[in-house]
Amino acid sequence: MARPTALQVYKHLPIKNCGRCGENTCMAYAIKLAEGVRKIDDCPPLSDEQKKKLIELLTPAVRAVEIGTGKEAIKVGGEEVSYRHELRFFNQTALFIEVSDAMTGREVDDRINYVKGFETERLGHKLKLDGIGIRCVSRDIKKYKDLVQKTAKAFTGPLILCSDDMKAIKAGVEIVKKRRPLLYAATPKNLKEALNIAREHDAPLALRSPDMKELGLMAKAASSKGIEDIVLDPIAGFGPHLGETLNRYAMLRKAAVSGLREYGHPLMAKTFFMREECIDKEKCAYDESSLASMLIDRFASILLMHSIEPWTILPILTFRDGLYTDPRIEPTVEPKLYPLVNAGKDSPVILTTNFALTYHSVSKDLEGAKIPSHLLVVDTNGLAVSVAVAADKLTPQLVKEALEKNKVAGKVSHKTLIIPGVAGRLKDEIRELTGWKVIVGPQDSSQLAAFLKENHGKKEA
Amino acid sequence: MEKKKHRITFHPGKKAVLAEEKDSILDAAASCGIHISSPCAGRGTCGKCVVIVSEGITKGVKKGNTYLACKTHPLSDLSVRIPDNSSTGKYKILDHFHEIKKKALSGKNAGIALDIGTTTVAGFLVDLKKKHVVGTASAYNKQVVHGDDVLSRIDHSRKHGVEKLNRLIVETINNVAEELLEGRRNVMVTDLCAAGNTTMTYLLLNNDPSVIKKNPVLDEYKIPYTANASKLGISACGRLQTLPGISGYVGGDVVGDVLASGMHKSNKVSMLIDVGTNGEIVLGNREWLVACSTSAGPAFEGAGTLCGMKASSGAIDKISINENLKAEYRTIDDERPEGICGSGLIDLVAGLFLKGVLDHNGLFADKRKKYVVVPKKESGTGKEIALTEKDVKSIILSKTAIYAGAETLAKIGTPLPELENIYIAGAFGYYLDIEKAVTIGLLPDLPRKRYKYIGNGSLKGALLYLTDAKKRREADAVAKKTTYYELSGDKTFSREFLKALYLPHQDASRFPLVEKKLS
Repeated sequence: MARPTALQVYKHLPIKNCGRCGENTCMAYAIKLAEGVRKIDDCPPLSDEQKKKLIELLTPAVRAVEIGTGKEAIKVGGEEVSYRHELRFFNQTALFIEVSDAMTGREVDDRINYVKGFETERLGHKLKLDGIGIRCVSRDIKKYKDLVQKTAKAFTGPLILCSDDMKAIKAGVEIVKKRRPLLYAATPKNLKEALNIAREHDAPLALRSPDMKELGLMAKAASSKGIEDIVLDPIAGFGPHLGETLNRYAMLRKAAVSGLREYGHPLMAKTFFMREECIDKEKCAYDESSLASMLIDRFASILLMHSIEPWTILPILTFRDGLYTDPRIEPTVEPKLYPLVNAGKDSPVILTTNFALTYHSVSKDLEGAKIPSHLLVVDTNGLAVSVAVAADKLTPQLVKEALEKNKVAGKVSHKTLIIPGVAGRLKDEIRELTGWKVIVGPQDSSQLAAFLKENHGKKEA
Repeated sequence: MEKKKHRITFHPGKKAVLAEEKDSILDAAASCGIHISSPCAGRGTCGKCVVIVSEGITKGVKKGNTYLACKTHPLSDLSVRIPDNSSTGKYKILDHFHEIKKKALSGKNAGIALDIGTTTVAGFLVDLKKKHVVGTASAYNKQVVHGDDVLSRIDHSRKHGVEKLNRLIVETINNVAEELLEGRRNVMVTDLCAAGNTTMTYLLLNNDPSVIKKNPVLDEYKIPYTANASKLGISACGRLQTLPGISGYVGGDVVGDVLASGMHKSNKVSMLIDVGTNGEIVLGNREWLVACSTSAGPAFEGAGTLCGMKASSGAIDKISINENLKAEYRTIDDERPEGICGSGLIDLVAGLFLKGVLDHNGLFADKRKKYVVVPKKESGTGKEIALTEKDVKSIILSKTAIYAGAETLAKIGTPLPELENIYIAGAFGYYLDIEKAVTIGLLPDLPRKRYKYIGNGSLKGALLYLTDAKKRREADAVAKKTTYYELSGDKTFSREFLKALYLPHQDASRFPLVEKKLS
């Protein structure tokens, strides 16, 4: 189904132009609702009838599915488009790390702790792993139950129960029934049983088949039983199967966006194969990492991974973070005065804008060079310095306001401001308006350290 | 030491003024009320303000035998000649109001309705009792010496204060009022109503317009202001009302357009396009209205092209291309041709495209360098008037901005072919040949009878606002309920823009009638 137009959305609104949603007019709200910028709940006077119609109208091409409950739940899917520039992507690919009942107790503990403790930062975003997939490899139900028990106790986040034996799944889900784990996976052979378990425990269910038609039929069967929390796995392969794999994932998203409801579900992939055959562990991890990145690019909403090497995980997380940020919003940081490296009264004051990439490069360069300094970040709505100067968003007035608002004069013992080289032409105007001495710094923050050594250092000496 | 002053005498007219070395010739001219065309507001970038220095020593930028007035300063007494194409000349404005005859007033009280344009100010003298127009007048907006577009005015007021520009617009209004009241005795103007873009409205009210550049969406633009006219320095003692606007870039003039079109009262969805340097587009019906502003650039106003000029005396305003691919043209006031104004440029590009001289990309099919419209010996300037590929490119950019804006608004949910009416507003809009405008892809290819000219809707809107309390309420409601759609940064707009950068469009199926003509 093509995305609804603003006018189609508008027709279901109360048209009171009351402004309670924060927009001036209902049309403005409708435009943003159609773009997915605002939510249905933002409109208080909406009647239940209108709300129902709107939900129907705005249900995304790829339905959203929640795994887990409460605060720990994650949402996958909920996507509208195949190409990010057409709108944006909404819910980032969830990364699950496997544990299996063929692993030693020690290995399982290590992996659980790894997932729990993993956290790194990029551009102010916290990058984390999302959950654990508990696999039944031994075909021993009791052994599997023990593993589920142990994992669920140590890890409170989202879980996937993995087995093609529905008896194992059933045993597992009974232990963690309150946690809405994803059941992985139903095949044409065990579909009926799987659907019953999913319905009984209100758990999301993965359907697995390399055949698109069969996947569609299975999804239809699930829908007819009222089960809509479905994930599709068209089965990923590497090496000679890679081309076909990527094609399958792409075709499924295309089918969803074109309006075929049975394909309108999040996609998932298991990115490792028959580890016993994997002699060269490093090559396996490398292959897995590249396959995972490619599948993130090809619309996979859930990845179940084996490798936990930082060098396999980090590039995937970075790519995911970049892909799922909203390209329509400039990444920004809070405009304020940032004291870096124990900045004191004598430390220089350096001006920059609140575009996140600008802020992070300048602050990293200063921190890297261990230069105590005050970074004055002004609000240019996320424009980088040169762009902000050209667009008149970085103005002497703005600098003056920022200096006053942050009480910079009270925090340092001097009145010297270093401005970016590309903002050099504002020097005189800033000086006149603020009364501060203005020094034009280098064009690139990587040269700040050398520049400061020459200029600021001399003054102190 | 006292700064040395030089005497500059301007020809024709022999007006003289004293100026220091730091003053440019452009400044000196402005200070004694002589207007030299300066679209770039004296930045030295447009090259339009050429003057001939016949006597004296100067320091400045030469362009052939001539100097750029904005970048040239006196070092001694000067004698300066302003060539015809640099003087701003008499505008071809308000032609369609000529049918309005000067009438007598029924009483002593009168009202004035004003359209405060960035370039021109037009006014109606109104019999408030009988509610009809009894006289018209217009004048050049004196602010033009400080730049042709609203952004230059905003910049100017930020650097030099609002007062200077405020004084200039008040002077202009006073001139218009004087002309309106000429020959009438004891007439008391009790009510004035002005429609203008938000910048003009702010400058008129002595409000700082720099807020517009900072934040184009604020509630304060939607307020209908009332002021005491005499306190603003206007030579009338009544109250002055301004039409409310929609956003920083869609002002009371567009609300006036809507009021004049009546689109806000129809059940069916219509579109209004005000073609100018800034194309404003409004889409909607009685229930909802959405407006956007698209920066078309100055090509249609005569700047940005080598052969372009304003729609003043000597401008070619109609062109057709004959069988031998020669241009047949008409000039304003039947003067010898000096350049081509916006409507002429559209005619020219449309004609050359239909004859196959220009291809879909706006390039000459036979790889020629230029198309000569008027050879040297026929032209009024002694130079040939020709169209280059660069000129075509700048016209395509302008038409694309407007068409892509229309297409983007249509994406809200009313495809262009479903529109009831398309209203064409603005003084330029009145001269626009719809057929030609569609041919180059400026306007959508719809049945021509759906197009309706409303002429200077801003002035008509001001008149309705002045005389009719019901219309006043309607206008205030329109301003309040119209949603401003920001095109800059909008993905749909940039996509539509790229598709429309052709003659008439990348997607031929959107211009079926033009395609038919080509085949």
